[in-house]
Amino acid sequence: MTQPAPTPGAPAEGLPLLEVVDVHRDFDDGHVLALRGVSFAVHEGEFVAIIGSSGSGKSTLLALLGALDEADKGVIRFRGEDITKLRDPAGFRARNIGFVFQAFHLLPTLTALENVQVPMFEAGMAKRDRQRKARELLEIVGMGHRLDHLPAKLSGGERQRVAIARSLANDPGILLADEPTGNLDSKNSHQIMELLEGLHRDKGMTLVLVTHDMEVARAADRVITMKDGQIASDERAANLTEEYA
Amino acid sequence: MTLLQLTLKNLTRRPIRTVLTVMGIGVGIGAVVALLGLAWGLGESWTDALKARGTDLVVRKASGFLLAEPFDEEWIKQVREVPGVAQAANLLTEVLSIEEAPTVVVSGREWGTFVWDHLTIVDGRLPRSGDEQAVVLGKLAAEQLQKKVGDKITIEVADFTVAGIAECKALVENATVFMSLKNLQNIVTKEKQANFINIRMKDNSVPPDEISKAIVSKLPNCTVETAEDLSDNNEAVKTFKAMNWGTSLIALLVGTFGVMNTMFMSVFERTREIGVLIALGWKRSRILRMIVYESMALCAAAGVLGVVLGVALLKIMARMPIMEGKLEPHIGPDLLGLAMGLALGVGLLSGLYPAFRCTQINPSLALRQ
Ligand SMILES: Nc1ncnc2c1ncn2[C@@H]1O[C@H](COP(=O)(O)OP(=O)(O)OP(=O)(O)O)[C@@H](O)[C@H]1O
Ligand SMILES: [Mg+2]
Repeated sequence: MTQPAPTPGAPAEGLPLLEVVDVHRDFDDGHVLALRGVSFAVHEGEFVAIIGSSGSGKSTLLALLGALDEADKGVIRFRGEDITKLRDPAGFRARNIGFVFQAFHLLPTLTALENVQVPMFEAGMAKRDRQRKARELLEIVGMGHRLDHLPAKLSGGERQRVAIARSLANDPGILLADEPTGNLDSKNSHQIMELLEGLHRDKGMTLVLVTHDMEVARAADRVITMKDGQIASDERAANLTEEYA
Repeated sequence: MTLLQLTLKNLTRRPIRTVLTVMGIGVGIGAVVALLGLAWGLGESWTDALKARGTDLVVRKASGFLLAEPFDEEWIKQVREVPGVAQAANLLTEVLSIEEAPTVVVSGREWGTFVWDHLTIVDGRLPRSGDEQAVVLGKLAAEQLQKKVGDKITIEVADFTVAGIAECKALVENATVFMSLKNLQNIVTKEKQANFINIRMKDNSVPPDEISKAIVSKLPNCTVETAEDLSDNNEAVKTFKAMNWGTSLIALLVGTFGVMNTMFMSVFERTREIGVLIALGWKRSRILRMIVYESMALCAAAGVLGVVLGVALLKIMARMPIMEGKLEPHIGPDLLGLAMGLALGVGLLSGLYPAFRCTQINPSLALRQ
């Protein structure tokens, strides 16, 4: 087993939660090289922001981290287990990954309370437990007063709160968020970031967040910059150079 | 919230499409209920006719296709010796052209046996003896032949008097001319011959199967059928049933494609949502179940609608003059259960393929849309 390259500036603290080794992914029969040899590791409790210009491969990378897509080459390990060749990737996602999307992706026919329960079907929870836990999660994200609202009746910020509650449904090991504030105005964007930071700070949630917004990236412990399918830089927040200021 | 509740909510998002689909397949199921109700009703009216004359079992020659082949009338003696047989009667049934009517069923019945007891005479009387040159006409036969009580009627070379008009439960019997076995044997020159033996059993003392076996062992050329078998094997009933099943299956097939089309539209516009469910970790089997439940729920609603429509249609038809009193449609839990079963089958069949296609959705692609 190859040792992962030490994360710049981070203390080497045993087995990383997520370990990416020389991952490649191309599309259209090799005409689009979306990822060209990406390696890094994420440790338990870290908050990593991924930035980079449009088309640099951020979403492609996030999909691979969440076992939504398969790498053409390279290895991705979650808690030491290779997730590039899973027999049951859906089960893996249900147990370990919380996704937050730019477009929220709530089910329009279901209320807030019901949307949060959707992932719990795969956790084999009793109906009553699902309901109770969904209510608790909605209270945590500040949506306890909107349990029975349909997504169409909620503001963008409120929808994203519900989506975050849903991402926590099965107590995942990591949250993967692809531009979670991309559809929100600055006020709502702020509130969502406060919520995510709070989860990181207070509950030790590991967070990998893709964003275009430097303001948002600034909240992270560490910023990875992608360029043309490769990592251009990987810096801890304290070391961020002036160019991001 | 359960998976089923989640499924049902999906049906509410395009209410008009849902209602139209339910109506489409519902009308199809209604047609199936009506057609099968008629076919089963016809079969039963035959069975009823046999039962009404007190016939439990019928013996005929095993050979012979549409018309039963004649045999020696003395065979009945062997049948009467079989334990469990209460009474037995020889019958000769012929299809003859009488005066202006090209095909009339003429039933020659052994005089003095139970098969005469159950004719309900509505006008006139029964023949006085097996030797009287007299016939009884079924109500329809009387209309067809334009005869009333006291009229003369020429059958083959012989003249008869219409002694009475009988009302019978079965359409076939209503269109029949009845006379004594001996008279019919004479006019068709089949002396001492019969082609059916009707049997009335002693009450449950010997099971019908055993009676049948005992008869066949004495008369190896023969088969024994219950009243139900006989109507099932009747060519007219068979043809009618087959036609109605054929039409029903076409209706169901059309319905299946209709529901499949709706389901395809429904899942196609939800590709991204289904991608989300897969991303959230839903197993493919759960996605499959969600879609199949959805189409089955559509069809369950259609089944209820179809049963209501079909029963209404049968009730209306039963009141129509050409049907009244001749063919009582079958409306029973078995038919309604079958209709619901067929509806759910359509739901399963039409949901499986769209559901399977959903399980093939690539979540990362779907989420890019
Ligand atoms: N399924 C696909 N088929 C073809 N090309 C794809 C596919 N997915 C991604 N790509 C291409 O791969 C490259 C990286 O895409 P990706 O979505 O990862 O970029 P991104 O960094 O997330 O961009 P953005 O900031 O605009 O979201 C792009 O050139 C994109 O067009
Ligand atoms: Mg992207």
